[in-house]
Amino acid sequence: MTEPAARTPERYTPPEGVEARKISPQLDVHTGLPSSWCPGCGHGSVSQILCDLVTELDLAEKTILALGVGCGSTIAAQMEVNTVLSPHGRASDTATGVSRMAPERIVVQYSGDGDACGIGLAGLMHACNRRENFIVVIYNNNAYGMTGGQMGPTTTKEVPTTTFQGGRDEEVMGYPMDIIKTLEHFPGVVYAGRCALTSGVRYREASRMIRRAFEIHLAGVKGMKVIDCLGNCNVNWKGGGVTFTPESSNQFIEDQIMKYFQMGEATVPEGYPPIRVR
Amino acid sequence: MSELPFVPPVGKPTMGAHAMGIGAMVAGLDYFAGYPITPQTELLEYVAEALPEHGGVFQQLGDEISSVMAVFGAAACGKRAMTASVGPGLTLMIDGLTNAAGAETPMVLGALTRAHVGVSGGLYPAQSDIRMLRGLGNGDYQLPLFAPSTITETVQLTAEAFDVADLYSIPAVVCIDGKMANMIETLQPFEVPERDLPDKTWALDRSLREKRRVVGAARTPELDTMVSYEIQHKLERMRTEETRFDTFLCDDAEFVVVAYGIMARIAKEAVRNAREEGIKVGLFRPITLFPFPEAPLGELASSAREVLTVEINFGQALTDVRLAVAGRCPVQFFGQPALAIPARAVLEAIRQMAAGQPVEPRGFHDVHPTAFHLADTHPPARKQMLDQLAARRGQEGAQAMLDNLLGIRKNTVIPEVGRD
Repeated sequence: MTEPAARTPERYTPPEGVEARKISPQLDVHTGLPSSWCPGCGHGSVSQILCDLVTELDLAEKTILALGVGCGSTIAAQMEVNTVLSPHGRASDTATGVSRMAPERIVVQYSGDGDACGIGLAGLMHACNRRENFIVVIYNNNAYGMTGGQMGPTTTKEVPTTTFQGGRDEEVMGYPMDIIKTLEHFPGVVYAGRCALTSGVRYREASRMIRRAFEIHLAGVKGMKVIDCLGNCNVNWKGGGVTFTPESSNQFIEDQIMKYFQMGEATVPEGYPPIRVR
Repeated sequence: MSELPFVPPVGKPTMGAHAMGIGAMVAGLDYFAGYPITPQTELLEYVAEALPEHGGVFQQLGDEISSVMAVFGAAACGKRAMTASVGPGLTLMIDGLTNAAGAETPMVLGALTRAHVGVSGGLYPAQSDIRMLRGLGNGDYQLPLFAPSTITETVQLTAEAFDVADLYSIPAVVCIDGKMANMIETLQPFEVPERDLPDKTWALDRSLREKRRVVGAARTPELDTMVSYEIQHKLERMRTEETRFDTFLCDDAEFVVVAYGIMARIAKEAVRNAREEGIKVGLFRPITLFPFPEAPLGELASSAREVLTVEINFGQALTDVRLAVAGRCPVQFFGQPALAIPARAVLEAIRQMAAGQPVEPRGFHDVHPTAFHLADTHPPARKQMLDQLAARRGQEGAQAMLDNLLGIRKNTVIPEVGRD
C-alpha cells in the first residue's frame, strides 16, 4: 500500500519548563496543508469542525474516515487520521465493513449530497436499516460540485445547475430529496439533524450538532448518527449565466433553499437536551 | 478472531458450495457479506451458521455492490474477508473488484457460475464467467483465478486463496460452476501449505502514532501511475510463482485435451476411454486460469499433433490456450453454453481430432436433446392452455402468441429452434 507522505502526527510538545499536561499528548489532526476547495466553500468549514472536534476530544487514534468520491473526499488532505477511500457512493458500505471489524473505533463517513443521497442512497438506507454504528456527515450543496455543478437529488427548484439551467424541472426531475426526513424514522437512526454553514451563528450550531453526534457515539448509543449540512457551491451554481459570491450564495441558502428543508435536530436519543437553531 | 478452532469435516459428505465456506473457515475468516442468488445460497447459509460460532461477523447486505464494498472495508482493517456470488451478481461486484485491486486490498471472492447472457431463464451450470472474473473492471489488472475440480480441492484452494490474496495484496477469486456447487463428495484430507505472509502494516486499525494509513484506489495522479506499475510487477511475480496446473497421461501424448473445473473431471474419463482405444491423448488441467500455465502447455504443444480445448462456454479460456500453444500445433474448440458436456461427446470429439478431422461443434439439440420442439417441453397445464388457444386461433396464432410470451424473436433465432 502506497501512502501519501504523512507528517509525523505526534506534534504536541509542551513548552519548556512546563510538564506535559497529559500522559498521552493530544494528536493534532489538522494537516495544515492548503485545501483544494474553492474560496467560500462550506467543505472547509465542516473540515475545520471535524478536525477541531477530533483534536479536542483526543480521538485522533480512534477515528477512521470513510470517504466516497466528490469534493468532500479531499478532506483526506486536511484531516490526518486513518482513512479509507471507496468508489462513488460506496462510503456507507465500506464504513459498514470497517465499523464491524473495528468496533472500538469511531467511523465517520463524510459524503456529499450526490454521494450519499444519489448513487449511495441504497447503501446509506440499508446501513440505517441494519442499525450500523457510525457517524454520517453529509455536505449538502445542492449540486455535483466536482463535475462542475450538475443537478443532484437534493437540488431545489431555484438553484441554477448546468443540466437544468432554469432550475429543477419538476415535470422531469421531481422534487428535492430531504435525506433527514427520509432517514429520521428508521429505528436504526439514533441521531439525525440538519445544520447549515451560512454564517458564524450557523457554524456554531453545526459545530454543536456534530459534537453531539460524537458524544452520543462515545456514550455507547449504537446506531446511525446522520447530520446533513447545508452549504453553498458558489462557484458551480452557474447555470444560465447566474453568478454567485460566497456571501450571496449563503444568503441564497437562507432565503431560498431553507424553504424546502427543516432545520435542527429531528431524532435525538433520550436524555440529550435539544440544540437550538435559528 | 476465531474463538473455537474450526475443524473441517474431513471424511464427511460435503457440498461444493459448502466447500468454499469450509475453505474460508480453515483460513480464519473474519467477515463475510453476501446477497442471495442461486446457486450461492447454500454457501451463504453455511457461513451464516459457521462464522458467528467462531467469532466472525456474517452480514446479508442490500445488494452485491454493498456486499463487495463492505468486504473491502473489512479487508481494509486487515481482516480476512470474503463474499461470493453468481453471474449477474458478479457483474455488479466488478465495481468492488477493480477498486480493491487498485487499493491493493486482499480479499477473496467465491464465484459459482451459471449459464447465459444477462439474467438467464434457466439456472443451468456453466463456466461462463471466466473472462469476466480475471479482471474486467476498469484499469489494467488481473486477478488470481483458481478453478478447482473436486470438492476437496475447492476447500484447499479457497483456504489458499486467502494466503495468495494477502501475499500479493490483491483480491483472489475461486471459481466453481453451478454443478460443482450442488455436487456432494466426501471431503478428503487436505493440506494448506504454510506461507510467509507479510505483516499488514497498512491496515486501518493500526495506530496513528506510528504512521497514518490511507487505504483506497484514488490518490494523486503520480501515485496512481506508480501503483499501476506495482500491480504489473505483482502480476509478473504471480506468473512465475503462482501458476498451477495438473497433467494426466501427457508424457507420450500426441493429442492434448485442455479442460478445467468440472469439465476436467469429465474430460479425464473421456481421455481414459480414448487411451483404451489406442489414441495417445492426455489431459492438461489449468488449476489457475490467471496466471495461465502458458509455458508448460506450450511445451506439451511442441510435441503434440493437436490441442483440443473443452469448456462449458464458447471459448473464454481459448484465447489463453492459443497464446500458450503459439502456433506450435492446431487448436480446436469443443464447447456449449450450458450444462456439462457428457464424457461420450468429449470422447467422440477426441476420436474426430485423432482422425485428423475438424471437431463437430455442439449444437442446440446436443444441449437440449428433449427440447426438439419448444412446445414439447411445456408442462401439461400450459399444453392444455395452448390446445384451447389453438382451437380458437389456429395453430399458427397460438404458436406466435407463445413465442411472444417466451420473448423469442423469430428473426434472430436459428431456424430449427422454432417450429418444424
